Amino acid sequence: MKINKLYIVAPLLILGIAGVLLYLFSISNKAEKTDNVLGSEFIQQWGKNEVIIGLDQEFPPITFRNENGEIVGFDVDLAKEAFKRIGLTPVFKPMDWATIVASLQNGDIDLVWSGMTITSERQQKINFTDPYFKGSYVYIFGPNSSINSKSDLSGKIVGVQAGSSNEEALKADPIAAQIKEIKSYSSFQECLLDLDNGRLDAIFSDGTFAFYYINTKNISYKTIEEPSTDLGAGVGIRKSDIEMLNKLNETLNAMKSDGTATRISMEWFGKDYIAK
Amino acid sequence: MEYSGQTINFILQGVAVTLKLWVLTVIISLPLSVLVALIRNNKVKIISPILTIYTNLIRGTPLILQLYTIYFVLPIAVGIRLEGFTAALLTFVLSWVAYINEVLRVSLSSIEKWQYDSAQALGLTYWQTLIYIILPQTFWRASGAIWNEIINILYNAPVIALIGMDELLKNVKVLVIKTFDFTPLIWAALFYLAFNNLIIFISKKVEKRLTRFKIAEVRR
Repeated sequence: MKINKLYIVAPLLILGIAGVLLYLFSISNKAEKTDNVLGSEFIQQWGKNEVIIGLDQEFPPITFRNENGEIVGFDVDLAKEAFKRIGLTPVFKPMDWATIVASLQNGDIDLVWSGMTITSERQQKINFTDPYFKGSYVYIFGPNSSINSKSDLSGKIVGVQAGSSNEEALKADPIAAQIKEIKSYSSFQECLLDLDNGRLDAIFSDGTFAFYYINTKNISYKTIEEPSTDLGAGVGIRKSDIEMLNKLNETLNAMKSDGTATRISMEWFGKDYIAK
Repeated sequence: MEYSGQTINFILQGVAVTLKLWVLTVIISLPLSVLVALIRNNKVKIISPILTIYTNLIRGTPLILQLYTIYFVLPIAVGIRLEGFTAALLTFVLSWVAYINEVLRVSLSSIEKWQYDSAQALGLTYWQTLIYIILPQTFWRASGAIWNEIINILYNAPVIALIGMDELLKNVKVLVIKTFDFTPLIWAALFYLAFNNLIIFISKKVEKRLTRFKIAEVRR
């Protein structure tokens, strides 16, 4: 039997067109806007009435997409409040984390505001505001784990997220010398899967992120929280945008001293994580 | 970017894991593929249909999903908990036996029936016919596709980062995220380029040796 070519070509064509449409749709959905307010001298210098904020959309509860696909989070609320005071419209743009600083330097985005930990290596590339957030680290164990304190970790296998600042922190901790192996995963979800099936004895992670994630599960994990040793998180800004750096520092300090920042932290975490 | 010994060591560890996976996958997959292709081509009862289903199942699903299933779902579903590298190797071998045996099977079925008859007339046994006449031609006809698959194994190695393996591209990406400097990516690109060109070079040599089996047009 001879098959008409149309039967093969037509479905492929339809699939192809559907793919392209879906892709275009997802791009057009990426930028979300909030209300515009008034102008000032700083805004005239800035040259436009919006500021494009690059973020990681998979970092709950700091920056993420909620069930409706809206970009929300602690940092998003902070940014909205800060730019309401400054008088610019924040436009939130999800980016790939590995290339986010390159995008900042290229001018695709104006700021990186996504819980980015301040490190001296990163400071060589970009400027940071004063830290606005000082998080915690957390060790997570299965519900039936025999581990009760940090010293019980000796000879155990601990999972971390590859390339995260907490991976560095764990390696710098004296306990690292006693740990049998530190395994790094591309995401927290994979760490948790391997904790559940017993390949890992513990996970070491960023506190707020891990608590948000494990609270969505039905398993009551054991945890040990400790204050973070890093410099805290700051907003990343191009080295050339000194005006914006000063303006943001001024605004963030005002938000710290009038209690707005603490209020937003309590809303998201039930705890004050604002850097003093 | 300045390179400390530690950084270079970190990249080289990744290279070692990637190469180990590649070499073992190639060594194990090729003979198995020949076997599977022969069984499927000879239409052995029960076994051939099962192998065909296996081939289509693997070719019809993404590698990343297979790896996820073998590493994360097997422990929950049937209690088999494989160590990281074992799970990665098993997934890669299962995948590439499916890809390569399909290529070989098509090539095998393209060998004309008169060649078997002539060999029989000359007094060769079935196995002698297979080893001296049929298989060399099968490999020659399929060589382009097989070399492609061999290179593909290397390109697909980065998926094992999903299960916490420290593979080349992942280690390089970790360095990039830490410093936001892209130079390590260039090192990785150079490695892939150099290694693949080595494979291409070897493939040309092998192809030259196989050319003498190009006898298909002799008796048309």
